[in-house]
This record gives sequence, C-alpha cells and structure tokens, in this order.
Amino acid sequence: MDTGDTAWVLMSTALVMLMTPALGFFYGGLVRRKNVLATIMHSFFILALISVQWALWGYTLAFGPDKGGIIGGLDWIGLRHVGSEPNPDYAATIPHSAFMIFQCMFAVITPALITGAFAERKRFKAFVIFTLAWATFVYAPIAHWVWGVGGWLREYGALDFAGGTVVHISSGVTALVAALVLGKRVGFGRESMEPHNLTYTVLGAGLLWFGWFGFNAGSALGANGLAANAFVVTNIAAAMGALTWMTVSWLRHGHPSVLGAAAGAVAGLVAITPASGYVSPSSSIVIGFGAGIACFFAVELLKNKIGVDDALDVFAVHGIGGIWGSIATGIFAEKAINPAGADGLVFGGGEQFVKQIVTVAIVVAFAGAASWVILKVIDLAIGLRVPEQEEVLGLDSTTHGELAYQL
Amino acid sequence: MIVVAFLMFAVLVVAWLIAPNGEPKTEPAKPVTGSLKIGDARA
Repeated sequence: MDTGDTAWVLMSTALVMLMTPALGFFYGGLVRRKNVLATIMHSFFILALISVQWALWGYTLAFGPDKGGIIGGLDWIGLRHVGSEPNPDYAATIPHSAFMIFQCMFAVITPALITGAFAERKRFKAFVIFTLAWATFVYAPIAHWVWGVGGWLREYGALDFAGGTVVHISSGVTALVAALVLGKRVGFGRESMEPHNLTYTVLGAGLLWFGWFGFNAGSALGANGLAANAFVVTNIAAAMGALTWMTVSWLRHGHPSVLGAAAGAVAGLVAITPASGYVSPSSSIVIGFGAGIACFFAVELLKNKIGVDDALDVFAVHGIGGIWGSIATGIFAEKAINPAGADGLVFGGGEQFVKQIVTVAIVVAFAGAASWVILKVIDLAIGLRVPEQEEVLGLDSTTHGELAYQL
Repeated sequence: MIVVAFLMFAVLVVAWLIAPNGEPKTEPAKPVTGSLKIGDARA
C-alpha cells in the first residue's frame, strides 16, 4: 500500500466526480431556458443512480473475475470482497475500494454524456430505464473487454489509457443512435434553438477541464511520472483543441466564438483521453489540433448538412473526438513514455495502429447495435418522447414542476 | 514531432492575423424584463 498513490487516486476520484455536474452546466447552458433544469437534472440524477447501480452490480460486471473475456462474474456483487486491501490485478498500491470508486465516476459520467443527444424531448421515465439498461448491457461489457483483467480487447492489445473507447466512443455512438431513434425536436430547422446561457457552458467547460486532470492523470493509479505526463498532455491537448476550433470557427463564420473555444477544449480533452498515458507533449499538440478540426467539421456536417438533431453535438465531439484519439494513440504512442504501452505508427508500430482501428470498429458496432435495441424496447414499452405539447412548453415546468428563472 | 507541433501552432497564429472581423449579430437578444408589466417595479 502506498499512501501517496492512495491520496492521488482518491483526489482524482473527487475531480472526476465534479465533471458530471460540470457537464450539467455545460449542457444546461446550451439548451433553451425552458429546459435548463431538466438538462442539469439528467447529469445530477445519473450521479446518484449509477453510484448505486455500480455498487450493487455494475462494478462486478465490469471488473469482477473474468468470464470468457466477455463480462465480469458476480463475485463482487454488492461490493462483497471489495475492501481496503489492494487488488494487485488492477492497482497493487491502493485499496481495492479506492480503485472501485475511481472507476465508479467513469461509469457515472459516460451515460451522462449521452443525455446531450436527447435533450429537450426525452421522457424522464424512459431516461431512467435507458440509463440503467445502458450502464448494465453496454457500459459494463465494454469496460470489461477493454480494461478488465481477461477482457478480450485488453488481451488483443487495445490501448485505452483513460476511456477513449470505453467512455467517449461508446457514449458518442449511442448519442447518434438516440438522436436518430428519437427524431428531431419540434421546430428543429425552422425556429431558433440557440443556447440560452453560454456563461453556464463556459463555466461547465472550465470545470470539465479541471476535472479531466483526475480523469486522465488519475488513470495512472499512482502519484508518479506517468500521472505527471498524462496531466501535461491533457492540458496541452485541451488548449490546442480550444485554439483550433475557435480559429476554424473564426475563419468560417467571422467571429472568434466563445462557444467554439469551450467546445474545442472539450474536443481536445476527449481526444487525448485514450492517448494520455502513451504520448509526448509534442504529440498532444497534434492530437488537440486534429480534434479541433475534426470535431468542428463533424458538427457542421451532421447538424447543418445531414440534419441529424443530436441536440448538443455529443457524437461530433465525443464520438468523432474519441475515434480520432483512439486512432491517434495507434499513431503517436511511444514506449519511451510508457513501457507498458506500444510504439505507434510514427515510431514503427504499424501493428498497434491496426489494433486501434479494429478496436474502434468493434466498440462502434456493439455500442450502436446494443443501444438501438435498448431504445426500441423502451420506446415500445413506455415511449421515449414526451407529448408534443409538453415539449413545446418545456420540460422544466411539465416534467419537474419547477422553473429555473423567476425573472 | 516537435517540428510538426511548431508548424501547427504557426498555422493558428497566421490564421488569427488574417481572420476577418465579422458583422455584429443583428438579432438582439430578448430583454429579460420583457415579461414585466407596469407596476412591477414598485414591488
């Protein structure tokens, strides 16, 4: 047991916890004022819901003793055998319970990311059932495949330091599927749906950036050089993403957009997530630059050209950013940074590049198909959308019986 | 990789120098007092 490692992981857990309410503010500012409470509630409610689900059965499914490379066994159900002694399979220098609660915060924020796609129109009951089902049948298996001891993608050699596939690709692809299954918001394309309070969004982005240090540097599971490198490259990629998206937006639309800077920072953070334990600071500049460009044009293409109403651009930022980051890991990873990793394409490791692409394809296919099934079943059983009249009036008053602003 | 990183940052700096000054947003935001009625100020 190492007290420094334990302190850092517990501190990182608190940092990652803060990201979910921060996401609520990020998304809350982007919706219309009649839906801000409902949108913030999605994130806040998930923090509570998945914290309990994780303790009861989520953790054991994701990280419990391996069953055929597919899923964890039920040995740790209800956190049985998860105590203050380390589990050397995952983290030999910290309590097993510290590792568990750190992973809990990842399980919390992942379904919260999806909520941006169905904002302003999803029935609350359907949202609750969907979140529970998705965390159980999509998140837990993918987390086991990629991070669990014995997981088949981990055995295959996939590199994902902090969640490019497990968190961002899975949520981003699910967001796209959810937007397609739910359909567009009433008035989409005909009436203005501009963000009602970008100050919330920038506040949320700033807190996300802050919390992301725990997300990525905490994933080193120790207070060490690897954590320091992850911290550094996380900051650089976020900065480069913000600068790049804002610049492209400025050139295309004539203004250095505040929203562009905030969204770009998040795009850079998403992209560096899988790579943060394997790449150098110079590579993180390239990764952040690529994220800013790729995610900006993904938003333009999806929303303005194709007309998919992924309300808050979850797929464009998390899906595309996660795919770029995961592939970039196969390009820029260096054993000189992390001997437990691999050399990427530019360092002579073509094999790792292929492995990353295969892993991305598998996670995209599984998350997309499984999420589609879950959404369709819920739609048939209880309906996914609120009635049109409630959507027009806004979910704050009709679903929650509260108003955000009394002005 | 360091050279590539410097080049990318240089591209951004050049872009900032040549970026246009866009037109101001023409549609004003709705005033937050829009729903107030005469007499509300006394309360």
